[in-house]
Amino acid sequence: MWWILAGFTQPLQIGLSAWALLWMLPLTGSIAIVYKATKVGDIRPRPFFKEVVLLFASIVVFMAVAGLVLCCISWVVDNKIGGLMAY
Amino acid sequence: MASPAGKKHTSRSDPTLVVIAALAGWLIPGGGYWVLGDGRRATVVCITILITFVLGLYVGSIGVIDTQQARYWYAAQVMTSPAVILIGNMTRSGQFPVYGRPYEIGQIYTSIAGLLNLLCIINAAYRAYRRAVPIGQFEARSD
Repeated sequence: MWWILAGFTQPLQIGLSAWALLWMLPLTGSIAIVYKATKVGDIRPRPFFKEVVLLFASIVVFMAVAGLVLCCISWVVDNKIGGLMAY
Repeated sequence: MASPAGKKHTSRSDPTLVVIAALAGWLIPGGGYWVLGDGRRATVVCITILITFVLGLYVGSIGVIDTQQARYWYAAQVMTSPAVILIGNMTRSGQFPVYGRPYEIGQIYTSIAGLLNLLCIINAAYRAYRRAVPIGQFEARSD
């Protein structure tokens, strides 16, 4: 076990760019697979894959919409309300 | 199969199956389903959770298993498997420091892996319970 763990002693270099947000995708995939595995009655490859893709897409779209809404709120607070309050 | 009282019973009626399924699910992700004979579900869950956990360790190193500074995250991580306790003992000395984005992403991945396994443990225990309790009795309780 120790020699396996020896390969995991140095962290990756991940910058602060927007590309780092893509790390959300594998995690979303895992969540979709495990959640659907607990929900479906019988796991058959094609229907299961379809269900997983649907849930994965739903989560990604919802998070993108949530991100856009937060960006809009941030812009309004910065440029409109902030301008009115003159700070 | 119907009992003399007219209630249907499932093939297994051992309540310890619930405990065994939960413990197996903690020992090895998906182990609870394997105990219940659902090998395909066990394989899917095991591979997915282990990949998520190992990816978290790859991104942030084993330093993300932080028993001192991040106890709540550790509580979630330890739900993946008892093996996390061993890793926690290795990192307790603080010789694997990790900061910033890799720390966050690694911690989120490993903790989500643990929480997903907790979901599977509860689900496997529930499925074992559904098998153990007579069907008529279960329906009466769920009303």
